[in-house]
Amino acid sequence: MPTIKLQSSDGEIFDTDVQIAKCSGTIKTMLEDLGMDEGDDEVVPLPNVNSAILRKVLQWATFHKDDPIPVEDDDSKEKRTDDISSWDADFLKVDQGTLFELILAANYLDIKGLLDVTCKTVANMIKGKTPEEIRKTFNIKNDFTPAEEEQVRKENEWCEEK
Amino acid sequence: MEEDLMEYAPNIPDNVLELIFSFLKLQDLRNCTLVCKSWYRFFCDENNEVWRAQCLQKVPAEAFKNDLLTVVPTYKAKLRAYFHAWNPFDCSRHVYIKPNGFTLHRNPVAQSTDGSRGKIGFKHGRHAWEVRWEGPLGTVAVVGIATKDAAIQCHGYYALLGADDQSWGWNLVDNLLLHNGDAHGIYPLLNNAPKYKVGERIRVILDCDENTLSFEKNYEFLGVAFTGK
Repeated sequence: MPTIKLQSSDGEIFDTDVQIAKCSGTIKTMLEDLGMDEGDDEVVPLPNVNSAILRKVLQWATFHKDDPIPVEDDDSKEKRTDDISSWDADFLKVDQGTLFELILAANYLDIKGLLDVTCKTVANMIKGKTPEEIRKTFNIKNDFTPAEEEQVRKENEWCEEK
Repeated sequence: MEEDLMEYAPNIPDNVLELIFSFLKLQDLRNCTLVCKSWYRFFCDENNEVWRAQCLQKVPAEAFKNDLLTVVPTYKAKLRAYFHAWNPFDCSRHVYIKPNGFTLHRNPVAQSTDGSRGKIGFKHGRHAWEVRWEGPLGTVAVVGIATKDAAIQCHGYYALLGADDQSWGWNLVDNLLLHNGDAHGIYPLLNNAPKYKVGERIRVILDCDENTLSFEKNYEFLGVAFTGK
């Protein structure tokens, strides 16, 4: 099976199936644009992804290599977040730093399936929480003054689902 | 680890925030606007994909089929307008709210005066909305505001809005201001002010902070109609 070499930001080389590497839109485009041939000994540098995260990403991509191409979402319907597969749910039982690193890596590497499921996981962590609980969950500092916060609250007071 | 976390949530790229927020319900989005300035800033783009999806999910497709919402500039504003529009559960039994959610149809019942309230009332802030008659005014045609205690149906043809201390109205048929069962003078304060013509846009402007009610006709400000305590 043809492989290519991916290099993480900290210099580790990952010998990877081309098919698996190509689930990343970024790598796929890179290979096509650069006309890299399979079997070439060239190394694809991924300066934005460290080895720990790249290992996780490749683990995810390997498990999902035979997934069908995701269909475009229908904007007119509410999106579900309760359809995360049990394998993905287990895979994403990681600390929050890793979760966000995975999101940033999936975004940089353009892996729609992984970006979707990680963002869904974050959305599930937000659902039903008060602003203060959301801040606590993600360790976000409240940088509003009380007056500003009150203003924003009034502005969006009407946003209640009927 | 704690300090590492600080760097993530507020610094998520906008396209990722958009994806995360696209999975949330409106109440959750409202709570997200209150989390931090960086998230709030994301929601200030009232035409972004998150507002667009919320708008298309909730505002009936019929509302987009004519020029009804063309004066409402953004997806968020269209959604807000729909959330405030006529309340099909708070109107006279002779009133039918069309599927677009914005058009009130009064069934032609003899000897009945019929009204409707919007879905959301106001206690503070400044608010404005537009009313446009598409058919003949009839015997009385009053536009204005009412508390939730004001009647929305009565027998006969009667200026229901302004009939007691729970409502304030402007009767477009004779240009009189009405409150507490009394005429409060001619409005606008002009000699021979032109009468309302079908299709003209009336904008109702309620300022709960200054306690004033004013109107515009075809975007011309007509002055303060009522000043409260």
